Amino acid sequence: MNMVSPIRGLILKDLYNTKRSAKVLLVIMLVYGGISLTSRDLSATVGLTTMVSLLLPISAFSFDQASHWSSFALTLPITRRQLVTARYAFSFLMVLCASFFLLLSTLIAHLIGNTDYLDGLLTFLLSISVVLTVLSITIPAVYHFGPERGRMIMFGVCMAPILIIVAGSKFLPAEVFSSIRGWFLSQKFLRILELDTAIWIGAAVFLIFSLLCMSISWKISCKIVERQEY
Amino acid sequence: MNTYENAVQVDSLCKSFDDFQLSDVSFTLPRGTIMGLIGENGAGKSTTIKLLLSLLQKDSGSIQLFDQPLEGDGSALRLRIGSVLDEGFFYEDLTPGQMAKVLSHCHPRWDSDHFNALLRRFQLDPSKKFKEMSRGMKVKTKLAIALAPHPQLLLLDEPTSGLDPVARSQFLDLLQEFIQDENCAVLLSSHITSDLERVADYITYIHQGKILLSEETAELLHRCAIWRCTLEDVRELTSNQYLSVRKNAYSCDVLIGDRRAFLSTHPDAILDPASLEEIMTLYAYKAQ
Repeated sequence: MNMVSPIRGLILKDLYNTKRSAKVLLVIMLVYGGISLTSRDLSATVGLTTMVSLLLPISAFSFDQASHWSSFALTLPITRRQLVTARYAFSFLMVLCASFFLLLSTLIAHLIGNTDYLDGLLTFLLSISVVLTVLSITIPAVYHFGPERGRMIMFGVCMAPILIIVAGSKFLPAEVFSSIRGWFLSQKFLRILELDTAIWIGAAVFLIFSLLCMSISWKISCKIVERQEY
Repeated sequence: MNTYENAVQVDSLCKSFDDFQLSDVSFTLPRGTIMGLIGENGAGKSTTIKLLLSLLQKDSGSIQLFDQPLEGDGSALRLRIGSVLDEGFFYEDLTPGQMAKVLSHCHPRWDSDHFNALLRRFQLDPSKKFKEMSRGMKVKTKLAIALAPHPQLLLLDEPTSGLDPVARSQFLDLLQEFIQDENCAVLLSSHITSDLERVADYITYIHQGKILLSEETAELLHRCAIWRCTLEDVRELTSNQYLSVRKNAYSCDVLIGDRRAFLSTHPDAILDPASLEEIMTLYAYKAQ
């Protein structure tokens, strides 16, 4: 009997499927990376890598749906939990690849003397955290509602913070914001920290929070898939 | 290789959907045999196969595979099952060679040499993308994938639909080869009843979610017969002398369930052999 790892096989399948679109995306990312480096502004690269790491895992669901992969996979000695775990592992892999590209761009920008690499590293941490948090909401939604509606939910999740801030600034009285600011300023632990340190701690906490979200999300997805019929 | 008596034993299996109900389905598939699952579209054939694969969860009843109860997600028992479902699972840009690499990680019993030999036998190119393949080639690839891990049980849902007669004949030859090993068995759902007459040892007929019959093919074909007669002849029969009647423009086709008993009461009647297709269609008249 062979030594097998279904999760490895399932990730390989996703990588094969992603290969074609990945080539096009890589070219776009290199072009954007070049523009960002010459214009001394990495925000375009940040936006692109965030978008790519969100879209590739969701596209994998669309490929699966089009080919009825899940119903075939579950005729093999593969458990539903392994099916879900492989998709989360693939998502992590895509996030890491896109973030690695961002990190590389940051380091190159620093080496040619255009940007502060600490800012770049902070952006790298924050973009991983944002993507993982969004995926942790989107992946269970895709399992439950399917890739089409799941994609809409993903855009909703991405837009939600902006909408909340815009709506808040329009409808809430200014005193609410000043009282929130006052609460933060009154916290002793924040006062003893330098601003930079507080930002780095905040980024680390956000990363831990996003990983926790992914862990909870994986459990929810497992429950959804275990109840699904094909 | 694990030995067993019955590859599949289903008792009082029930499954309800909003618009369809599989009721009280029972049948047994002994090892070393092929069972043909017949029935019209939407009769419950695919539902039954999906329940055996744990793709659907049963409401009640019991399923035993290889004499072991099917419990949980059934992944351990699926190690010994190869299946071909009606729905495709092909990623259009992938090739059989790439799928083989994926599946070699997914299936502990995957045999790459056997898979490659099957591809050669079916004259399939391992580097050809699925989107470039004909329907027949896709079916053959599915079958090669199902057979590559040396399964003991094949569950095949409409595998021959869309195949030309030559390809179908090759496919049936392969099934008969597969069944030479007495530890193997096949459950084959098909609309092409002539194929089943050729290879199936047992026939199970599902109609509107219920089993109408499940018995040996030879016994079924031997005991059933068609009496082509007039409506007046039919009126003289008692209800226990026949199974169903189809009224044509100028005559009637009467499905006789027990040829010997019928001839003892109607010695002058000329009975035609009943094909599986005629039994299936006339039984459906009875059920209606």
